[in-house]
Amino acid sequence: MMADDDYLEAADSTRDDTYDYDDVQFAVRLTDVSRVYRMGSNKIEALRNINLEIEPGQYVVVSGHSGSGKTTLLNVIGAIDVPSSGRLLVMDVPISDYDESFRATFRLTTTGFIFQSYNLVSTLTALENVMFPMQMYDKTPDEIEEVAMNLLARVKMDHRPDHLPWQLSSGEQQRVAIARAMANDPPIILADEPTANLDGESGQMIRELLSELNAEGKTVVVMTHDEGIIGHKNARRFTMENGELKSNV
Amino acid sequence: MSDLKGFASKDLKRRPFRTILVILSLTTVIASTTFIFLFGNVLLDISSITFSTSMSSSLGTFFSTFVWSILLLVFILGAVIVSTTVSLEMVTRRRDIGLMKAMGTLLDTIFDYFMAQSVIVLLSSVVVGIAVGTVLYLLGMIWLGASIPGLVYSNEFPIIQIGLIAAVYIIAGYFSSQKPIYDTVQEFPSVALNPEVASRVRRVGLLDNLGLPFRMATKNVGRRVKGTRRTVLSLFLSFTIASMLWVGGGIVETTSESYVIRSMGNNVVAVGNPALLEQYYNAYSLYGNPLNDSFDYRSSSDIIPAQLVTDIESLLGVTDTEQRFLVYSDVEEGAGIVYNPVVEDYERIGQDRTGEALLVGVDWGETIADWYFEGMAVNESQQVWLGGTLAQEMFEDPLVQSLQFQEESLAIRALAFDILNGGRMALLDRATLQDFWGVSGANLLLVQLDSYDEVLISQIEALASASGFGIFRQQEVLTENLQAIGAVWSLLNPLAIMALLSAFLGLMNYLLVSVFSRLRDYVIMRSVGAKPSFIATVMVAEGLNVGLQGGLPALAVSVILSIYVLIPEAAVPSTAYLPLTIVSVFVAMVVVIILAAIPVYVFFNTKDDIRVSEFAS
Repeated sequence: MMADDDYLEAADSTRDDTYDYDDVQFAVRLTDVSRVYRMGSNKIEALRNINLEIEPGQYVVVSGHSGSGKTTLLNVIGAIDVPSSGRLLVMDVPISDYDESFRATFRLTTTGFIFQSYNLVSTLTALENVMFPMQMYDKTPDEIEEVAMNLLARVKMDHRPDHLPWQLSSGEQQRVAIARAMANDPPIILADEPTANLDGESGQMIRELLSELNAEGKTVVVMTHDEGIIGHKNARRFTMENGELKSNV
Repeated sequence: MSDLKGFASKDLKRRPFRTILVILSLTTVIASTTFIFLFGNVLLDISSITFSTSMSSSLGTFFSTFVWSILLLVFILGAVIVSTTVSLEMVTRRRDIGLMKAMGTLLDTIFDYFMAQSVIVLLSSVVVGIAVGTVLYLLGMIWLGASIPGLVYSNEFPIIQIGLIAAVYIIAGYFSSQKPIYDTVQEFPSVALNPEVASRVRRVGLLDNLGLPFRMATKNVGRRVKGTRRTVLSLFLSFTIASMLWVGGGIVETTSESYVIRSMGNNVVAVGNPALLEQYYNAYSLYGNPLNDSFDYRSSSDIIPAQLVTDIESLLGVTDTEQRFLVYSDVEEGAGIVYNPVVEDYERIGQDRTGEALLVGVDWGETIADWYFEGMAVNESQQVWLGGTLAQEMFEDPLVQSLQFQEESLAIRALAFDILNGGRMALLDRATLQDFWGVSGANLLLVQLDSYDEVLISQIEALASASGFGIFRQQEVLTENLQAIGAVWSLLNPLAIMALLSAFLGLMNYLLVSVFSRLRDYVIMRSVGAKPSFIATVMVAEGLNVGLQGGLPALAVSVILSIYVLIPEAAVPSTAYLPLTIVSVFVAMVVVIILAAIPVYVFFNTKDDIRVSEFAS
């Protein structure tokens, strides 16, 4: 198995300003991936033989009913969950073969996760929430604060850096969450219903941010019902239904 | 209400992990504090009997003060920990309370429902905890009887103390659980459902410079101000008890040993009538017998010849000699005059009590002893120092009264520490005492040696034998007494360990409650890339943060109390004693804190399931 340090070095080498993925064939590749949960005697097949190849820089949108398996798929891609069977490669790395410590490092460097319910750490301010992934990555403190402030500025939240999550509106919390997802400049952005709890104006801002990130070369994978996102001009569209992934193209 | 209790108990059963954790935590804390309190009472009894009656009353007072201080702290500690645990548990139910309010449940019903849960948890913990604590106490008593058979203490089953402890714990727990439930019931449902709202976060902490986990811990600890304060208070009490027992106990032991050495003198061989020596040193032993009327050595054959004193003084290795005149005599309490501010007039005190005491005639300017005393030095021949027990048993306010014997009256100048004859003794000018009885010379010669050299002692013995006298190795009695003091204070060590156990349990419970109340935050951190070990380190840092907030002041307070308040003329075995003891207590403290953080550390290091959506609000 690859050591953490080796991977970090490899991950760093893939992340320059232009996102040159010459060495990476697929940002995400799932081959016959299934995820089964067991609750007592009940067996729930959240993902059934998923096959999906996402090239670097693509904008992928997956829609589907609640309970269809969208979040599970995103969790598996984001190394928050592991498949029960099948082969999963993210940035050509078989992440499910590694232990949780490695997967944590992988999440830190390679994927930026945007959750439906924002999931900001309640004891940290907006600025600290954005700084947190960078602090885990051992950057220098001065650099971290400057980068975090720039990210907050980018999501138009630099006027409230010292506010705790409960002091922010839903749209503001989601913008901070997006800034946090960009913190370590990951090549892949994963978003789970990012606009579901937001009003129209906030939702539009999030949609634009995701488009910008994709335009910069980041791979964006979004699970959503939002027609505005589904209708993105470059989107590859899929639908989840009972744990199965169907292409809409 | 019965339906409500049924629901309440079902709710507890549905949360088995949390319920068991709280009951276990409360039970162990109650068991340990019950044991400390009951066993501490026995220790107090022992120290009172061993020291108060054998030594001076002043010394007995500070031994009692020391042990009573510990017991009082233990009692408060138990009540604080019980109230903290129950209160913390109820704080974790805020969201449930908010939910019930949002559904339209009546306030009284909500209050009764959660109070029923609290009472079930509290009563079961108190009953089991006190039962376990009592069993531990009985085991302790068996151990005590086996390890130090010579000790005297009252051995009655402490039913009143047990009842008192149970009542205090139940009352403290009941009212502590009432408060958070009542507060939450009064809140708007929206506030109770979102406990984060209006919460403040402390920005700067003691250990922030140690890294990110410590800065995170500062924010976590700073958020739950009430719970943290109570936990810090209970840790402060636990660590104060442990520190006082270790630091203070060591100082008390050394001080009492020092007092004994000062009163008896080091490297001393006694010369005198063999029968006198046997009775005298039997009365000098902590486990020996007091003197009686048979102690009568005033005849000329008991008086040590001046030539023998000269011969012994001329031996190489003899550093000092002291002649004493000992008389066992009837004594009487002399009246004293004191001003009574109530009646604004002087009044007579004293009941003319009579008794018997050993009168020790010393030459104040040449004595080898250096007694610890409370009062004033003797500057006239008609003055006397009293032993503690004599002062305690026969006098009302000894320092303004007089000691009478042989129709003479001697002003009492001080109370002296000396364990001779169980403290039923008095020190006075030798010449004055000799004059009273019309005797010249001394019946006891104390010979202080450069070192306890057997060759030299044999020479002294040979000289003494030639004059018809014997010798006694006083050092042996001194050593025996020091061992007895050490044995009594060694009994305090289990109490220190139990106090640390209380701290461990209190902190562990705090950290577990802390973890489960903020599980979502930790899972979010994991989801954005924090390793399990990082989260676990945050928990250890949180433990250190809270533990040191309670521990460091506890250490400082216990050292100051032990040295400056509880123990007069405190002595330490060496200059390195205090620093070393403080460091060892500090290390024990850190070990306890780290041990308390192990369960949460293990929890986070083994938990791989971090699907955040499960914890989404």
